[in-house]
Amino acid sequence: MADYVDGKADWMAHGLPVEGEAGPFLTSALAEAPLTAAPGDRVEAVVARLRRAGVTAALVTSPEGLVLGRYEPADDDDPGAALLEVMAGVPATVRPSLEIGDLEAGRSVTVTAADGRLLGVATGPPGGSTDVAQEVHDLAEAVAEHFGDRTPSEDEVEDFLRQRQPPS
Amino acid sequence: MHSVDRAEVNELLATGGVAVEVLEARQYRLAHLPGAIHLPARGLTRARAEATLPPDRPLVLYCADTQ
Repeated sequence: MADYVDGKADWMAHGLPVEGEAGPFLTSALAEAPLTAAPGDRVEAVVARLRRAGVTAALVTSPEGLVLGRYEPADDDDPGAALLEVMAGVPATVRPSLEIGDLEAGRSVTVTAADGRLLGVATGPPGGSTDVAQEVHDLAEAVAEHFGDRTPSEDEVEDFLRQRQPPS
Repeated sequence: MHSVDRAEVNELLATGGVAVEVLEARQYRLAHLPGAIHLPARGLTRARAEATLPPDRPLVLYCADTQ
């Protein structure tokens, strides 16, 4: 018998498949690979690549695929400068184990594995988290009203929410 | 019992191994490794383990851990 010490969190954080009721996860929403560049690439060359690709920014990654920063051209950038000198810091990233419905509607996020390796970019669905946030708020109010001052167990809350769902 | 990493788990599962999740039912229902058997650690007995686990396949035990 073997012991997978890093566990399910590690598995999901690397975008590996799971079975169950949760999801869908960002793993299934990753768009095609974003444009990437090396920290030593020159501004002039990267700007040309961005124009050809029709995108406005590139992610700067190490040879191992770790996200180091983000480069979006500015008018006063020195064409001969290396990206390392002009790039912005590491953009906010999320794990592939995040559920798609938790993303803000239409917002693109950089998805990395637990070790910082770039997996891709995902975009929130139309009507994403705004609707989800409202739904969560409504459910929380319903739970509070139903149970009053008492703190229910997870199973009780689950049963209550199941009873609220319309029959399918 | 020896420790394995993610790559070794992948390899084991691809070659006939079975994952065994020891978390509670709710967590198992939400998400578990492909084909994983559910054997919650809480209240586990030897008899239950013997009745649940296949005796002739490599087993990979896991819980949640943190990121």
